Amino acid sequence: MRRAASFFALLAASTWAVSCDDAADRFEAVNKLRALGVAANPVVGTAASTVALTIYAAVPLGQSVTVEPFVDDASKFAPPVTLAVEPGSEAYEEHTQFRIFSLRATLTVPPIVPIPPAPGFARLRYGITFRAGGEVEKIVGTFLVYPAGDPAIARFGSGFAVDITAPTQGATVSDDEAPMIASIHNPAGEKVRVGWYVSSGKVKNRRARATNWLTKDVKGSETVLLTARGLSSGAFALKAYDVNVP
Amino acid sequence: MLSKLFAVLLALAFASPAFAQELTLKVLAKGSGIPVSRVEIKIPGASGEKLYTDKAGQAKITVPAAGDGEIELYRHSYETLKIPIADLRGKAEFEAYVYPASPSDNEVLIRGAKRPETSRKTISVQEAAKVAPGGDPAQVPKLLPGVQSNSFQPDIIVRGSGPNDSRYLIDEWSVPIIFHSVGGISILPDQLLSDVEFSSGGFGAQYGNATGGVVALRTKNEVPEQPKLEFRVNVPIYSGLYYERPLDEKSFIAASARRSYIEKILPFVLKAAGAEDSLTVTPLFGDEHLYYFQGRDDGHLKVLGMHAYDGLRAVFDSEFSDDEDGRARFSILDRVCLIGAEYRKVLDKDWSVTVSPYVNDVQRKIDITQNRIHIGARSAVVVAELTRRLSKSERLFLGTELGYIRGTADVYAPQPDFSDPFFDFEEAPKIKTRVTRDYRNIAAWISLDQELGPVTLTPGVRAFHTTQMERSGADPRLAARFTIDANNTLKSAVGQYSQLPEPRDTNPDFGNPKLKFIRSNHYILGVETKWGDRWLTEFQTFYKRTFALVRTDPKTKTDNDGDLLAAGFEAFVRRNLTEQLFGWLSYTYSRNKERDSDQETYANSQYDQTHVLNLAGNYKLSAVWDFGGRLVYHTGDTYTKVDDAVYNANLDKYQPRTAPESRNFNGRLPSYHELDLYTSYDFLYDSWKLTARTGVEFIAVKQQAVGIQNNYDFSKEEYFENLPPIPYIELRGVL
Repeated sequence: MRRAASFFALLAASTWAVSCDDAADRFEAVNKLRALGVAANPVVGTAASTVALTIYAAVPLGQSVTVEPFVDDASKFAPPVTLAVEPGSEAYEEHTQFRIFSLRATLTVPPIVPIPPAPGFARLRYGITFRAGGEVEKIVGTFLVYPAGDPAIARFGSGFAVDITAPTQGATVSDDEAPMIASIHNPAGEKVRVGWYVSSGKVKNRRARATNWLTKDVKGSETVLLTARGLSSGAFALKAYDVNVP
Repeated sequence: MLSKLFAVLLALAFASPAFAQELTLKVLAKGSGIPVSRVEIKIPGASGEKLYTDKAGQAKITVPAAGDGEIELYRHSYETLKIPIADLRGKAEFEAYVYPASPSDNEVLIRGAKRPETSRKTISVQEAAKVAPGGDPAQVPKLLPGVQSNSFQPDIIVRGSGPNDSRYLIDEWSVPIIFHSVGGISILPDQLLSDVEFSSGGFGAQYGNATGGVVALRTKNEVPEQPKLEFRVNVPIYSGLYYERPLDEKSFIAASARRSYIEKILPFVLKAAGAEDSLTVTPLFGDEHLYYFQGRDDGHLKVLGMHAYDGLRAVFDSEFSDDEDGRARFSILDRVCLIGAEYRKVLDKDWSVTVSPYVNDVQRKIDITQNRIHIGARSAVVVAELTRRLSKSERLFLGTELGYIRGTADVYAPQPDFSDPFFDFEEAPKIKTRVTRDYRNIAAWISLDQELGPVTLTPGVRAFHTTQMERSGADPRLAARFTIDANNTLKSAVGQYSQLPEPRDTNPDFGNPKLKFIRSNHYILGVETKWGDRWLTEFQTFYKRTFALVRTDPKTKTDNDGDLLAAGFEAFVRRNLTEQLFGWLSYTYSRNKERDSDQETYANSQYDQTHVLNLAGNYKLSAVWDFGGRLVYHTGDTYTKVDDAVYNANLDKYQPRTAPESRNFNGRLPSYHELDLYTSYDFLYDSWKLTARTGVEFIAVKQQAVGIQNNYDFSKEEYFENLPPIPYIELRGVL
């Protein structure tokens, strides 16, 4: 006997999941401490290198975040490494409905990392816990280690960036469905996963580069946030704008 | 003088009764137009000589030239028909249609004796087509003891074994599935079937490569009296056409085709249910069949060619999406082609042989976002069994099964980890492989039915070899029946059952080519009691240990370290089929525990419904109207509770986790119940009939839990509920 999950059941659950949830409990609703992503510099690395990670989270106004690295040994695919938090690197970017917290940490790649011929890179797993206002977010991520000189290091090297084309900073959104359009600079040409966040309302499809913000019951100054990550490299960038909904 | 005589004769002539008239009476069955033979014709005033219709339903009768009265037509199982004589006068031919009589509860329909099996239940297609879910005979095992099932899936769990651990047969031709995944109906229409046989364990040496049960659809052996065309319109699922025609008294040919149209209706249903506009779901299925049967005095020949397919395409906004439009794309297509023959011949008074060659082609194509799993298998198999009657009390069976399989795989997908209930296919490293492999499976068996007074022993052994892993084995089996008296029989079976791992598990890229056979030991003891002609009860206890189950291994990818214990009790109370009433009550108590290695203790299995109760029945109110239903109750399914969740920064998603001390399947859904009711009515026309079947499925006190759904960060959990009661209607026209 094999344990099995029916693809049809999976599909049913997926379709149900996209069609049934209330606004306050949707992925894109930033109404409590929420992890946003991790940017690594360099994006991918080699053995015995040091990597600077910037870890982002959204937090309700007035709340502060405390952090604590942990060893995530639950991954079957990547051995764990421990992050070293840079003291005093915590920063808050203020927006009208929430603040974006960032923190710098250092990941030290071990001097010897076994790299399997397929797929040609190794993975390292890191973990860090954020706490704010009674909420806990355990953030995990994978850093890719290539052999020295591998072309992937240069290809994923730098330049991954995002911007929000619509709505723009300070714009007034008057329709019940406001367009949201992402602009992504992706020099490596890898698959990119988009993630939209809003302080209120719903996003029609938070994975689409061009989608709509449903603002029927939204009023006042709100914040729109865009995240994007390269699905091959883990490259990450975000952008947040404040807009008015009359 | 002469003129006087002429006048008298003329007066006498006018004064006497008119000359009687000859008429050809043709008696036909209302609703089919089939001629009815042996109809007794009673003519008032006749001498008392009995007249009967011939094979063509015809009889020459003499209609009295004068007088009132009625001709009466009598025939068992038809209503008596009275025809006023006045209606017959002046006609050379007359067609009379007789209506089927109200059903009788006095006649129990006995089916032919079959080779005994300890845990086999045989359900006639007349019964199965009435009460099985969807009116589909192949799903009737869901209602029998030893079976756990789920309303949404046609798969069955037999005494704790998974759906893939049972063997599905059409006659002796093995097929990977007998159900359409989408419609849930069987891949053969019920018109082509005579019986559905289901064995929940302890089966004989003729069946191999299964540790669960055996479900066998038996094709029709009865030659129809005349051609029949049947159309079926099921709203909202599918429609179908079936045609059969006798070629002579002993042979016939049949053809059928079915096609779903749920894909046309579903968009409207989803819209009405408030689904997002961006959701596109396109399920479809269909099948085509051609069947030939030739009966002979010393055996038969049957040939079946069939093609069945299932597909599901879905496009919707999804968190899984890797595409710019934020949508995920699923596509699944299954296809089964089968050409099989069965030749049976009685060689002399002691020897008979059955040879069943078949070829099949099975393809499955799954595309989920960027993942691709395209696998196929083409098989050529010959099953042959020789039976020898050694004496009045001994029969010997010798059989072989020779199979050649060419498997192909074109896969770009993650290595699955079935031991992790929260396995994330997005995060796992992907494997790309394209492989074609040929392998051979051969098996031979011998078994003996030996009557020793009141005891019948059936020892047997099945030996087998596969080049899939280059391994061989032998499974000894023993069944015993002790006839206590005319009504009570004690039954038992003990044996070993082996099963090949799935080809994926022995593929070097995804699995371990050195895997062993999965093995299961069955122990069964039961008693069967006949309570007159109408009632039968059967109670069985079983214990089953299945070991060398395939599990994920970090070093070798797969290993044989899993094992499963299943033990329980089954009760079956059956009201035998009469024209008026049939039904049964089945109850199963079972505990199924499993572990991934001998370093662990046993814990709940994925498939563990402690109590399963099914009540099914059908009552015929009149010759044209019947109703029935099913009541299903079972303990809730197991699931694994989420203890924690982490945010994966690379995937922008939360991933559920279990605590280190937690075991899989440590949660349980609430108990499930469901009532399904139906009624059908035959509208009879002279030469055809229209049957309307309507019903409501998923009736429950409240909507039942069938799964668990979590919110985006797994901080909340709620039940995924069953469908609300769904009415349906099906029209069947038989011409």
